[in-house]
Amino acid sequence: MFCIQCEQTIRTPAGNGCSYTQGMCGKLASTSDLQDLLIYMLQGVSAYAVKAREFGIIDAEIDTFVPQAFFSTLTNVNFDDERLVEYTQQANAYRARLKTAYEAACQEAGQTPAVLPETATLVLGTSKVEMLEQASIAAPNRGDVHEDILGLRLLCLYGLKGAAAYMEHARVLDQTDAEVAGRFHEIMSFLGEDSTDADKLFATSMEIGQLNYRVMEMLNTGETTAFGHPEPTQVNTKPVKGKAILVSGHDMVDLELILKQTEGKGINVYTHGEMLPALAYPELKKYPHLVGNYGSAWQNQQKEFANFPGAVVMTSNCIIDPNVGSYSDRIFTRSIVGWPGVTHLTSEDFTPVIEKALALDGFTYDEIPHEITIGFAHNALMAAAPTVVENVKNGSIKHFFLIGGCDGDKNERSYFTDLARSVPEDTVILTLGCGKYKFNKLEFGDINGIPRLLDIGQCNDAYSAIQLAIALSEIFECDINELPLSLVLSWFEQKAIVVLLTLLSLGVKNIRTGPTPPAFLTENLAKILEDQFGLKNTSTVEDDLNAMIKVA
Amino acid sequence: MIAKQLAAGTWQQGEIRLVCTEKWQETHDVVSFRFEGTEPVKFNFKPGQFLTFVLDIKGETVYRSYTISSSPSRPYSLVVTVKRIQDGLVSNYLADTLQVGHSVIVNGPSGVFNLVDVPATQKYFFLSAGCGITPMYSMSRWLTDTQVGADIAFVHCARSPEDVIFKSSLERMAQNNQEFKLGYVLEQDAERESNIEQVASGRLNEHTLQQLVPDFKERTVFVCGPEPYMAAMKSMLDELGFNMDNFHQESFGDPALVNAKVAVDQSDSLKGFMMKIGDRMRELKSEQTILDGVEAEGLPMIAACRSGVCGACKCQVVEGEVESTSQMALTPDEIANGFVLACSTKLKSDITLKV
Repeated sequence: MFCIQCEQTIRTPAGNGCSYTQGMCGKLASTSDLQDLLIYMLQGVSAYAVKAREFGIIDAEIDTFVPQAFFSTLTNVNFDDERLVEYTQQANAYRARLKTAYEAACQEAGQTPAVLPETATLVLGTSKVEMLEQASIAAPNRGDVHEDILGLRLLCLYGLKGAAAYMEHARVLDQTDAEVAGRFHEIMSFLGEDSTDADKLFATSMEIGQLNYRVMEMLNTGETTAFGHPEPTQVNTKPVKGKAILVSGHDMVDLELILKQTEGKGINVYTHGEMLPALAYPELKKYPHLVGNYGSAWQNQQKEFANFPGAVVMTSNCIIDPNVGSYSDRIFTRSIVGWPGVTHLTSEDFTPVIEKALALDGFTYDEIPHEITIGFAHNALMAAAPTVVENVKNGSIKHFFLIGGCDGDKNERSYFTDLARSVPEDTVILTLGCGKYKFNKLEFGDINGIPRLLDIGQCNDAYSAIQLAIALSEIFECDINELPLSLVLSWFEQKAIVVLLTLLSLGVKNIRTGPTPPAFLTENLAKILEDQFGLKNTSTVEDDLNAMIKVA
Repeated sequence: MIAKQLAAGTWQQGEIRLVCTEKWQETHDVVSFRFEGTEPVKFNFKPGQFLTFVLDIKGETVYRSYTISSSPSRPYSLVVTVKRIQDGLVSNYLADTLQVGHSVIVNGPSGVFNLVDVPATQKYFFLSAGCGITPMYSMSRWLTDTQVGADIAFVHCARSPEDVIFKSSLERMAQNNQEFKLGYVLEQDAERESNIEQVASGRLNEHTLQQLVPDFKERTVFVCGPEPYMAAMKSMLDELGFNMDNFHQESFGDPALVNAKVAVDQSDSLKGFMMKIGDRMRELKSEQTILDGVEAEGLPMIAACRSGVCGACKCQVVEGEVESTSQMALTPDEIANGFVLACSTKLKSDITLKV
């Protein structure tokens, strides 16, 4: 195996990346190899999708499938070899379908079909064993290539994977766009060509950022159309007495299905991790049995799920080994998520989850409520904008910090807690993603009625943050980079990579990322990003704060 | 329900989740909470001991100890009594937020200021101020409930009659028990206090002490209250020629448990075992991993993650006993054949290792 896509990957003086029996995420070498092969096959599918589009052939089913299956290879999503084998076989079938359609169109037009890269021609093994044997050709570090080129390829691959995840999140909300899918296939196909053109790869990474901006916009449209605009909402973060279901991941459609199907059954539904923002959407918060949020970010799930006396549904990333806390019999996976031996729900009928929750004790007590305020997405922020602007103008608010991204379990991540605690009293913190759990239960108070901590939502709600920044820059008639705004992003997996690419592609400068730079970014690449975008790694809270406030 | 209560198991020590079943105001700034287990449970503790609450306040874990004001002679519930302190984080949080039906996690019971661990004759002198009354109340309740023949002089110092915590219960206790003599020392409005006879005005001094408890020198004294109060009582009694061997006061915050654990760990770590690899021998302390030893010997071993995940530092224990914190990345066959992850394995005996 060779996998270097997330923050916890192994780093040694001898080299970076997980390349032994098992990755740091718990992914076995075989699983990782199958994922590589799946991506390789998907690149072949995309190669044909690009060619077919030249003839106006668009296969919506395949446009959906490719990003969806790509999403299954994101960190902490799918650990089930059998499912990965199925995806790969499905990719093989779709590739053949597009090939047939393309070649028929060529023949009809009297053209010779183009010669496509190896990703389009590989003869897929018929069994898992055969697939594992051929997987080495698909390794992400394949070939003898300069480390900077490899780093750029991986930046693009992982960025596109993050975008694919958001495409799938948008798709479940009926938001698809043939043009976006077409652009996705072009980039996916290009990444299968093992380009050594540094400029083209770098430009591609920016294109991925741009593409993802459109995807996040689609996702935002999908969520607000389905569930209304989030509104500031007080949510309880402690359990209440009764039977219980916990819904984790990002998919609010699943949450809504569960809420509908549990109505009147005496079951309380809780959000977990990135599902927390769902509690602020009018069409979800209207359910009285959606009682609050339980637990924190993904890396604590082995303890939190173990202590949760009900059923758990994992709708998307991040899942980690459910056998550690002995709850594998009461956790359910959905969509692209998988863990060997865990019940996977393919239909929209959540009866097994409900039956499990009813069979379990649930909470036999209430805990002392602890309420936090969430729901400062796009519209709520815009509604508050005039007040915010007034307070900026009269000097009550001196600076804004966007502190967000992914959470993780490294000790260095206390940086984000310390930073949030250390920012001056006359500043406002915006947050999003599960990185918020590093500080979202602390008290920050308010500035003339404006809460000092504004929770924007999920990681993809970076779209709302961008809209606020654009609106403020228009009001203050300045460039986004001249706003008294500093961005400090915590990253763990590939969604964070693509959000960063989006911000960079929009020209946002001087972002800080932490706790450590991606292991696939070489020194040269890091230098280029710093030179072009002022992108820096976090250092110490004190130094960073001094620098950020001085800039303002 | 009654059968279930009677059959309830006993809680003596450790962490337990309690559910608040009753909450009432003792005085204008003092609140009592009654707790039961999530399942019926009998609470066993020494009268005078305290519980440590583990609370999550504003996103931070906070520990605070409160004396159990009820008595183990009434074992099916626990009462904790909390006085609001100006700007006090925990006392105000509990008074404002903790409601009937809510549950809390507590640890305990702890504390040596109790009827069992303090050597005493049957003659007690309980001297308290403010919220320091809680252990005295627990101890008095136990002594009077069990009718063990204790002779109790109970003097409580408060600002005014309205500030006397447990006032009506104490007065009932005095009415029903000849051997329980109750006195108040009130800073204000002592003249308004007509329920009991023994009332002094101002602060407790030599004169009022003689008046309220003339035989105080024959008693074992228990003092609890604010630190300056306890210091003042101590020096007054000392000056009056009281035998200070019989003087006992509550001292708050005694994390003896933590220290005890460290001590045990240290004594353990003195023991070491030998690790044999080929011709090499190396002694490892109990907290050292096989990986520490292999690296100290300068032997080649890839240790990538160093946390029991990646499987790179796999090696085989040919002989001897070990304890592993992780077996991830090892197959059942390998485990059966003694393969371990060096980074996650410590010695339980002398061993022979194959790298």
